[in-house]
Amino acid sequence: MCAVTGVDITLEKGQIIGLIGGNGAGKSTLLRLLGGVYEPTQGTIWRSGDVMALYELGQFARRTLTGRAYARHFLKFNGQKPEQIEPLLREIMDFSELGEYFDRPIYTYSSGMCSRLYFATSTSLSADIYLIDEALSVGDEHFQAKCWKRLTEKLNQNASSVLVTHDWTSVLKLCSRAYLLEKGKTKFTGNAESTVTTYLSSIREQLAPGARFSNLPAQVSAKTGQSFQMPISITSESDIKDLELSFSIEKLKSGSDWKILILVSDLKIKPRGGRTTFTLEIPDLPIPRGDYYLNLFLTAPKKNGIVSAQPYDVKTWYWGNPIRLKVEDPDTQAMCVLPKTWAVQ
Amino acid sequence: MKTSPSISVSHLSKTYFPTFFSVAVNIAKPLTGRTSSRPNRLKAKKAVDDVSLQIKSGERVGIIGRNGAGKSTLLHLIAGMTAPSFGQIDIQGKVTAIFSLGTGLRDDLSGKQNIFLSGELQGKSRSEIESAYKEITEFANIGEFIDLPLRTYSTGMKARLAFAMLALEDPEILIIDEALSVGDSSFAQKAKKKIRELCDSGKIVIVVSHDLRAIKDICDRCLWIDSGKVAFDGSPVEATTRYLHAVAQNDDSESLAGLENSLKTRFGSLLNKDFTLSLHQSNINVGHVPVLFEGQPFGISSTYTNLKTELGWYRLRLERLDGVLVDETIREARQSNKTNTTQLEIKFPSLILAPGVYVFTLELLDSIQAVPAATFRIFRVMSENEIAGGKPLLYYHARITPQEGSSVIAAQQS
Repeated sequence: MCAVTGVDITLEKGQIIGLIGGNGAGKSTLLRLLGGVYEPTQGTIWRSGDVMALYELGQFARRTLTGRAYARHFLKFNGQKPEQIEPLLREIMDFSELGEYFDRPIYTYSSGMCSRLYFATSTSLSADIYLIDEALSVGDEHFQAKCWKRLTEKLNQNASSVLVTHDWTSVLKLCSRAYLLEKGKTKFTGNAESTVTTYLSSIREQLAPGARFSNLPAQVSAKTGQSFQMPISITSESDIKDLELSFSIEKLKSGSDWKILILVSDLKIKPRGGRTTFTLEIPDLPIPRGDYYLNLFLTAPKKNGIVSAQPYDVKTWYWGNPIRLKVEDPDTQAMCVLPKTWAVQ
Repeated sequence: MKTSPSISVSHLSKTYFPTFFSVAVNIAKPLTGRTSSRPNRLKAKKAVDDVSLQIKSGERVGIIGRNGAGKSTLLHLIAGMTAPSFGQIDIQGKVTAIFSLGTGLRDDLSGKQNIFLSGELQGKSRSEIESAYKEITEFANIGEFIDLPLRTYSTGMKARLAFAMLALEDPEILIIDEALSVGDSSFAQKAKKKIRELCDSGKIVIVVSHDLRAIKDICDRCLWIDSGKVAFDGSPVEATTRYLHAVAQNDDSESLAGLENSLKTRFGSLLNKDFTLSLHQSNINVGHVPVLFEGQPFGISSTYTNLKTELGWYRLRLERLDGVLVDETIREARQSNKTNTTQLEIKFPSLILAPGVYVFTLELLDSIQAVPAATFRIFRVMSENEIAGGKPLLYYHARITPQEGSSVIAAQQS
């Protein structure tokens, strides 16, 4: 039984790469091999630089220690001098938001509090290489946002990192390259966007029969501040009383950013059997020069606020069939161009 | 004949008192003369505070709340792992709790050995275990790993095995604490289906999770626990929405102070009381942080006086709380000749920003692009509409109309 077979990975300084794949694909094993937990059966791993492993956080914690004592042990163990430890402890206490619990034994903590302590402690030190395993699924929404911010700060200080995750959105936002693993083998390698697309294509839902987009262009162009119009044709087998069209305009720069700029959901349409053409109109297009993705979704109406699992048709970058939107005119660093008028008196 | 499972809790409280040790340390503190930065540990903590609730057979209950809100304590009380300080718990049925996945599994045994061991401990016969084994391996879907020791498993595999092993337990009341977040999406689907099946046969399932989507998918009732009390009890969609709003508000107030300070340091001496910026909308709520409403027109007014340098440009920037630059305009400046006071009016036909906290900064630039003066204004955008399916930067509108000549019944915007 081979958990990982014939994998080649290169991580350069300052680079962040992502490993994605389903359960049991060998992601965790690979990460632990890189971290030196296991010895490879075959092949070589060459590392240069301090490695900080963010997996199995808190494995060394004795539950009778207080949070403070645990953090102190951890820092000492990682070679911090006594005078460096005190400020770091204060920082860990602030970041973990444990308050007075910081001085209570770990066995009185809830599972969320434990993970906050472990995360805050492990990330208090800087390293050259970070190995991260699902570390961002720590705690509640608020704490996750904090963890995210802290990691990106660390990583932006020219550190290198390997990120293992199910959460493909973080791969898109952080990683310059990504590897898709399946049964211990690299199934796909490429930039984050193409790897995520390949990954999602293997797990995406089936389309419901009945209605489809037809004859959509592969690329459209528009001008900032002007009305954008696009014909959308829908072919349906019979009259459909309630159908919903949603669209979004997204900016995707693989490895640095992914933002939904505009999202309009649930435009109600009622196509007749055969082909019906609608015009989608966005007045005063508020986005600057650049290349965007225009995504379209054709779905049945929501039930109890939940979108049905089977859409009729989908055109989006993560299905590999988006419409590219090219916007011309003014160049700006900002994400948007808000319509406005000036007057000076 | 078995009765159907039910949980009834009335006026339940759990208080954690300071330990004897911490009391002793506190008394000894003045004697030893050691000063400590440690906070006072002598306060009792009410982890669960006067909670009353009924859970009937067949209900799928989700529990959400901030870290440390008392969710876990409440479940520990229901599972009988800790005794209540006050109040009553009445439970009909066998409680099976998964607090951390893999508890009770042995790392050195293989998956198969674990299944058989656990089955024997449950007092099942060989043939019962063998039939359950088939079911478990199918459900867990970990392939040949089943014959390898558990320590070689990834977290996801362990979670799947542990969840699949519920088939041995035959639970009547199932409590799951944060256990579903480890698997990938196809496993999550299977787990959801399994939970539905359990509930359809009259069992009770209680799920604690930070994954609000999972709660919405799985549960038909949701409790929001806040500082030991039930803050909301009702439909999952409503509970999660209310919870998210509360969390966002709470976070904002903390980060707002930080934002204001960082802007003050950024502009430093450029801030000048003769250079002001104000926002106006018909229903403006003038507080420390103005509240503007999405979808309505609004404007910015700015005045400045007695500038000694010759002005070249205005630079207006709009930034979101997390530092995203939303909009930037640079315009040639004009200083009026007659008076020393210049007034600037910028009008927006509609506020199209998504709800959140933003800041407008206005800088005056001279002819060589140096900045002699700057001002800023923090504001919050609220909206009455909620956009489903994502968090866009803008709340912008669009129209969809049938083309002439097409056969269409009707089309409208929701």
